[in-house]
Amino acid sequence: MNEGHGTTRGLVWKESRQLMPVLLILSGVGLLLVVLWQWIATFSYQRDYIGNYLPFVLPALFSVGAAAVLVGQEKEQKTLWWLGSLPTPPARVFWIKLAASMVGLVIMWGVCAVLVALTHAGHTGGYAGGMGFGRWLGASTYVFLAVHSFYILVCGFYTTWRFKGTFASLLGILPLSIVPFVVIEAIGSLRNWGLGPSWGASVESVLVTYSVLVASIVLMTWLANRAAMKALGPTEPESPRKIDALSWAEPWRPSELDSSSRDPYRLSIASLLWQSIHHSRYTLLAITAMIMLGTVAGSFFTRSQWVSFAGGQLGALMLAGLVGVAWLGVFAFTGDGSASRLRFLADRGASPTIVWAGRHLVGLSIVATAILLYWLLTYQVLPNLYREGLEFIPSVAFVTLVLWVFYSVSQWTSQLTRLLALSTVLAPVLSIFTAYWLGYAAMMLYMPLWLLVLLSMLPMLATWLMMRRYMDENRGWQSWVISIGAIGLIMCVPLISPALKVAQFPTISDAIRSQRLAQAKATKRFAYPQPLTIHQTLGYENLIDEKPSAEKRLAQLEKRNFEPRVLFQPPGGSIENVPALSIDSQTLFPMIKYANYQKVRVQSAPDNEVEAAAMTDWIEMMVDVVKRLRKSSRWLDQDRADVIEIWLTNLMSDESFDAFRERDFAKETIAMLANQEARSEARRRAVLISWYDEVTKRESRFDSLGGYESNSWPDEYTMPLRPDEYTMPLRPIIQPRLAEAVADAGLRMIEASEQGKPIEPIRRELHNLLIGPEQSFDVSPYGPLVQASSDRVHPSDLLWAYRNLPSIKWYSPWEQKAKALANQDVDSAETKEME
Amino acid sequence: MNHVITTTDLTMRFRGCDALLGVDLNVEPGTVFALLGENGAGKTTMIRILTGFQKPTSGSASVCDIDPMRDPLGVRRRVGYVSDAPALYDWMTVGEIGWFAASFYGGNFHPAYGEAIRRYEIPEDRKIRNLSKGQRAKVALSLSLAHDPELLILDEPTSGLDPMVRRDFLESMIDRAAAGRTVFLSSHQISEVERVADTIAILHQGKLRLCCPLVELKDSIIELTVNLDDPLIALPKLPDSTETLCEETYGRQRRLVIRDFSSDMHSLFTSREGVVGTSERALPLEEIFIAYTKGSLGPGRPRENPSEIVEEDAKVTSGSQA
Amino acid sequence: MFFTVDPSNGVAIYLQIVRQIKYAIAEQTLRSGQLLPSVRQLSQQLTVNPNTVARAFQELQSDGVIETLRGRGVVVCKGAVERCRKERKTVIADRISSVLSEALHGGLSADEIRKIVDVKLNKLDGNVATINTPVPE
Repeated sequence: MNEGHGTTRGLVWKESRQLMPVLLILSGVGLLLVVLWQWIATFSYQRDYIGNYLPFVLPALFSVGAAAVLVGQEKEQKTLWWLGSLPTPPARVFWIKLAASMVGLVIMWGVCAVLVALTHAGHTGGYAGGMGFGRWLGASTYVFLAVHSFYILVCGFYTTWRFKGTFASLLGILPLSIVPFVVIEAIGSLRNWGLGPSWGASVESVLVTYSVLVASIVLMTWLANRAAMKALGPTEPESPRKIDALSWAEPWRPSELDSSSRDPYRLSIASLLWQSIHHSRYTLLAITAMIMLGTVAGSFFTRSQWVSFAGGQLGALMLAGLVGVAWLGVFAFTGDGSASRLRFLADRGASPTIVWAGRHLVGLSIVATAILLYWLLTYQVLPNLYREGLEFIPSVAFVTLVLWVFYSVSQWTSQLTRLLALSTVLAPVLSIFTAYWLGYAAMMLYMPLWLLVLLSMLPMLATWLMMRRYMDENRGWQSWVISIGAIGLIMCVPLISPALKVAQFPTISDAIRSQRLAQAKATKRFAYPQPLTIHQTLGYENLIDEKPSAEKRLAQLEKRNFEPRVLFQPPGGSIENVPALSIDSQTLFPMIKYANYQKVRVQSAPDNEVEAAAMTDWIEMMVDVVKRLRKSSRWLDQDRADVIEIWLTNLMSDESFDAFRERDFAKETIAMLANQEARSEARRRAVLISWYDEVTKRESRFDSLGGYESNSWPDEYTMPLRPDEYTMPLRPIIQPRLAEAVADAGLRMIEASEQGKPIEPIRRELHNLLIGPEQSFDVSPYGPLVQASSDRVHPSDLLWAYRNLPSIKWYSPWEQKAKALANQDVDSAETKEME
Repeated sequence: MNHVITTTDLTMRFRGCDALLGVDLNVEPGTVFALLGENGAGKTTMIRILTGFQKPTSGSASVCDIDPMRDPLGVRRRVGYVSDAPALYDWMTVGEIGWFAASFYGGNFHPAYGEAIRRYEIPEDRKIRNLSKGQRAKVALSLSLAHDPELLILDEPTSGLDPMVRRDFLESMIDRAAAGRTVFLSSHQISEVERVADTIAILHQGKLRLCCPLVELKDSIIELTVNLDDPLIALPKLPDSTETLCEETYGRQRRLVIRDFSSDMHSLFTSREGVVGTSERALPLEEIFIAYTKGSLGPGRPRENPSEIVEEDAKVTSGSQA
Repeated sequence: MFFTVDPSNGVAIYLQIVRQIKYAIAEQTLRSGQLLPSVRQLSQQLTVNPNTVARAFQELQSDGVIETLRGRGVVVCKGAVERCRKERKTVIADRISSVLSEALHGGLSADEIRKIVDVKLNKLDGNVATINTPVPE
């Protein structure tokens, strides 16, 4: 029938037009939240964790709010009755509304999927810097959440048709939404499925879950239909019996408060308070109940035995309590607090400040009562059972702050958004977001506590400033300016402190940087250094670490035949075949160890030619290794080469090895050891290339600077209990600068030694950068004490301390010692000549 | 003849009050029927019952030969309804709401609506929330007339509107009547009602006090002023054919509003000792209405002038007319 | 043609219309053969119920003042002028009668009344402005 078709078209158009702003606003808010989250999460590696769940806020909010917009709002504006006066069957109105909101929900899920795709676009396997918090939500979660959201949508329809106020209908969704889960849990416990947050993947449980959900949807739709027909249809008359029956109850009914008989309050704010409470007593009561329950749950949550007993339920109650506080904030500017009703007071010249205070008194006093209750329960009533370990008990101040932020943000949201439905769902979300942001800023971004409190007061300030305009229903540009200003402040102020801290970090000038980069680019590279590895043979591993008797060890060692070039090989075959080598401490340590062992053998048998030859082998190998290490472009290798050179210097300086000094290889060795220029050159090349590589992110996986784990700087190994100078969020910003500063210091150290300038100031710089100015320079690895004993090669040098600190052995006394060796040689040669 | 509206013993009881007590009403086609009553007399309740929004406690009604309880949609299709401060969709424009409503009625709705809007000079692309009160009322009126309904029900449509808009409403009512359609009007603007109504009904305390053609009503009621020497003189009893609606005393004058008074009854008064003179005056509808609603003359009503003879058998006639 | 109607002055609306039309004819504002506005138009103009206008027309028709012409509407009859003038005279006579009775009632003697009438008549006769006073009811 043409008429029927036309009506459907008209109704569909109307419902879509009414839903459109909700869809747009929610999508916009979702997009904003996701973008903001990405921005925040660039400071931290936890972006995936919560960011995954953010897009799901959209369909959730929509499913709760759609009915409120389509039905609740029409009820409030009374257009529903006009619609009903048109010749259309109420059933059609109901079904079209339901269909439109279902389509809207599908669209919201689409937007959510798009957002999810967007936020995962930049991820490479869910890791960011080695901290894998990324978690993917499986397809089954999507399906489940989608079905549940449809259920909530239909619940919303039922409550809005059935109940009068929007607030009441929104509150009513909560218990209804839990019903299917209660049923499922009941069925599950009947069949002993092991209740818990994670369901077993048994087919039966999945089937039951979904069938219960679908059945709930159908049931709720039918209920909603009934409620709608009742609401849209003719009002039934009250049965005569009922009316008559009540007449005998009349005398027993408590008489209505005859307010005219009492004197009016003297203070206007008292009247405002009375009004706030009485205009919707039951809603206020419900919200207060929620908050108090949440508080009680929170108290119990601090006792671990309760947590293990009923952690999930307590958590849910606490969340409900928080939402209740948010709704309390919303309450401040709805109902009689809405702009249109406040006109009554504005027309009578009430001061906006008094009205503002009057609206907030109720909410704040309820929150204060809740805090008192919390204090009472947590600290006075509940028994203190400090078992093993510490209990985490949030202090009263902490709870106050959190609740305050929730209330503050919610009341501001409520004043800004005119739609009650929208603000009811938006307020908790925004409050959680703000609370998280402020907490994060306080912990990770050095925001002082007083600043946090100040920022949390901003929304209250904003609403107070806008109160007059709000009461006059004047939504001019000033309101927007104030709102945006407040948001901007809350978002940006916490960033000032870290920005300052970052800016304080020493940097090199652009000119120098570009010059060095050019220099680095031009530097010749050798082939990529191959790692030198130790090829263990049987029995080796037990050689020195075990604790067998000395004879046993010696017997083992006697059996050994370890040729250095067999033992230490790069992947490319033998050392000679490889132009450049790199080495790590797991290889270097044994090398030194076994070289030492050989040395001991030689020392104990000075005339043994075999041992001497072996020693020669060792020395030659080590020289080769050093030469190739010097060709490596990694900074770390230079420093490891230093260690080997130190050992060689010590060896050559040792009297018991005088005999060796005559040999050719020894001269070569000494020449190499004394050649500080070549060493400096190699160092410079290594530093430049390492830094260049780090800048161009060739070695980006471990944030390393030439082999050093620069993401562990300032050094965590030396001083593990140092206070964190740069918190997690700032590290990614600081790292490049730190690397640059260190590389710069290294290069300047080389230059200083070449130009004969003092090196100690640069060592101080390195100390401040890598260890920290609070630590004493004297006992630092860069300090005079350690430098003085720089020619020691202690195993701990390699394995524990100083492992991650660069350039410790640069230009230290051992280099002088090496040079002295050469001179000694020259002298002795000259002496010989003279002889 | 086929009445457009018929109610039979219509009763509506609420918890706090009895809105309608056995109302029998008949509205003839092609007339302008005005229902008067104080605020809270039950006019809106009756209209809600007639349009199918409320089910009565007992009794029945029939609108355009359709039972509103059984088929409210049918009623609404044939009837145009304008209420006081109608709740239209704020966010729609004038054109949009017409287009939207047109989809429910089909036929000539849309063009007729457009014509009406043009005639009232309301811009089509303005949102309803930006219209003045008068323009809103005109839009509501256009919406209710665009499908050329047999019956137009108006529930205090012009309350709070300026005279120009009221004029427009009057003109459209007259237009409908001239075209042979029926108008059912519930209003407080008694002066306007006086101009356009064919039939008047007065609802008072749930009962229909009066239902008769306006001309007849005005012809039959006069205000009799009696000048007395002695304020305490009892007045003669009037014949049973009359009905005294109310009586007041001001010093030496007594004022009675009497229905079906004939001129020869003057002599009853003038022959009385102490009566100086009488004069009569025809009453405008407003005063008639006040007289009817000020106090029904049922038995036991406290009298301002306790007189032995004025037993006014107040025949509380309910709803009897042609 | 401009008519006015006062619903609350005690005279039935239709009677007011009848009288005003008759007076208009008497003064030749409405000439014979002239077309009167239709019921619908007149009711719109006066904002009164069309039935009232219809009744007025009915009365005028039965008084022989107007007649319906097929396809054209309602026109003033030929001999309507004299009839209306006669009626006007009657109405004025009634008014004079009521003034007289009011005067007598107020205690004036017949002679006093005659004197007043003479004086007033002398003053007014010949000096009456051609401004029309509203139609007496």
